[in-house]
Order: sequence, then C-alpha cells, then structure tokens
Amino acid sequence: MEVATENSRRIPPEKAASVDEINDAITSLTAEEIKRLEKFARWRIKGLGRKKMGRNWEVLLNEAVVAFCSDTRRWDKERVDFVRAMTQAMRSISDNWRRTFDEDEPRLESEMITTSLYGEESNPLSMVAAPNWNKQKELEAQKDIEIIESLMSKRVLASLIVAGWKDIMTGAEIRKELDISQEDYDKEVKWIRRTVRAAFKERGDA
Amino acid sequence: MLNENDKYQDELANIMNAIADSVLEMADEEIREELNEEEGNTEVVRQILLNSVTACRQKKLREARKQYEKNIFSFQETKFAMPESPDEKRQLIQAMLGNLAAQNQVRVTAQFREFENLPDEDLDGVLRQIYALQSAEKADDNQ
Repeated sequence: MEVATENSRRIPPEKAASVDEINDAITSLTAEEIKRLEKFARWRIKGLGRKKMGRNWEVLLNEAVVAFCSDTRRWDKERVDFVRAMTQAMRSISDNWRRTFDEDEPRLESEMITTSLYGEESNPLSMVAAPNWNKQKELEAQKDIEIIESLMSKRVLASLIVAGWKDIMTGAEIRKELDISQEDYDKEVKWIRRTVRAAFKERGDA
Repeated sequence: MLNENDKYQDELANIMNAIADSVLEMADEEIREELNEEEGNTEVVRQILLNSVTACRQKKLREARKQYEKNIFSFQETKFAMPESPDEKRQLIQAMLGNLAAQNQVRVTAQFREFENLPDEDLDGVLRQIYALQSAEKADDNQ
C-alpha cells in the first residue's frame, strides 16, 4: 500500500498542533473517520500477533493521542489531516512494539491462552509437555496463514494479492505485477478484508 | 536469520498490516455500510480518544506541580554562607545584584533596588531570593 510516511520530529514546534487543537480535532471527527481509526487500530493489533503482549486496539489509539499531546510526535495540521496523522502514529508505535518485543520476558497466563481462527482455545500451561508458549503462538500464526490461504483459494486474484502482501509488496507493485486496474484491485481487497474479518469475528476476535 | 516460525509470524503481520493500510483507501460509503451492519457506537471510540487527551493534560499538571514543589523545597533547603552583620548582608546583596544586572538587566526587578531601606530582619529572605534567581540564571545558561 502506498502510504506517505513522515518523521514527525522534523515538524518545528511552532507548527505542531496544541493539545486544545488535538482535542478539537477529535471532537470534529465524523463517524466514518472514527470507524476508520478504529478499524486501522484493530488490524494493526492483529498484525502484532503474540507481540501485542496483552495490548488491544484501544491501547494503540490511546498511545497515538498521548504521543501527540506529550510532544513525542507532532501533528502539522496544515499539511496532514488528523486521521492520517493518527494512522501514521499508530503504524510507528505498533512497529516499535513489534521491534522491542522480548522473547524472554515473563508472560501472564492470560496472554498465553490463544484461539485459532476455528475457535479452538488452547493454553500451553495446561499441557504437561508444553515446552514453551512461544512455540504454541508460532504454530498459531502458521495455522492462521493456512486458514487465510484456504479462504483465498476460492478466488485466484485474492490469493495472488495476499501472496503479494506476504512479500511486503505495495498495492501499486501488485497491480503492476498482475496488470489489473485500481478498481479491480480495490474490489478484491474489499472482499479479502470482509472475508478475513468474518473469520476473525467467528472466533470473537474481530 | 529468520527461522520457519518467525517467517509465519512476519507473513501474518504483513497481511494484517496491508489490510490495515487498505482501510485508509476505503470509501466513506463502504465505511457507512459497515457502521450500519455492525453493533457498536463510534461515540464510545471518540470518548476513548478524548479520555486520552484528558489523561495527558492531567499528567502534565501533575508533573508541573511536582516540579513546582521540588523548586519550592529546593529553595527552602538552600544553604549558603550567610554573613553575620546587616551591613555585610547589604554589601553581599549589592554585589549579587550587580552581578545579575551585568548578566541580564531586564530580569533584575525594581523590588530589589530598595534593599537599603529594608528592615534587617528581611535581609536573609532577600539574599535567599537573589541566590535562587542567580541559580536559575546559571541553570538557563547551561541549557
């Protein structure tokens, strides 16, 4: 996907939105914009898998707002709208969580209980021979990939797009590679999004 | 080097992140469709965002208060060699004011210029204030 990234630290302090302006921007968000932020946060958290460490989409939204209010990040409202600034912040924060994940950090039992796309719940601690919970989580990622690929197998174009995403290809690269229009791409992505969301929803993780 | 399991984790993350990015390209109409289909209230999410702003403001206030209390405590605890006699104290005040004036005349306020008329019992307090002002100037210079 082509998403403009911007290092917020380059924004001079005099151009950074104040806490009052951030508050006003939140108050002015439309229902559609709020939903967009929520959905973005939910998918980014799903992308963290075991590295989310008990954090949820609300925590991610909160961290992004706090980053702007505490001047850790800056929002230049003349250049970028609030939704775009928030999604850039959430992308950066969740990438950072992912990078700083420590395999050896002690876990809560609640963090170890997992549910596959088919709704099978498992707790590695309850298994006598469970070597470690990481292995369990890793197997789940593999299982989830297999389930997504199985869902996509019904549509050739969808499976090719997902294959491109797995290899970190951008939307433009995928469209060029597959020689398809923006409209066809968007239509297929919509189907993928809805299908995967429905699968997650079934297991109570939408 | 990535092992097989890390590879699956990364691939799953790449797919989820691509779907997240695709949300930014969704038409408002499609978002509205989902809003109609799903339960949930966007006002609840708005409140989460507003609560984050409030929490941040409160944190800033707490930090400012903490710093203020720290400064007050530090000012009250300041110890330095205090001259014995009122004359010596007045000389020291004059010297310190002269020093401050040389650094930054604007910041030396008129209240200290009348020090010669101050009662002897107020001299210790004035000396402490000037000392604190001088320390603040030094701290500013070091930043």
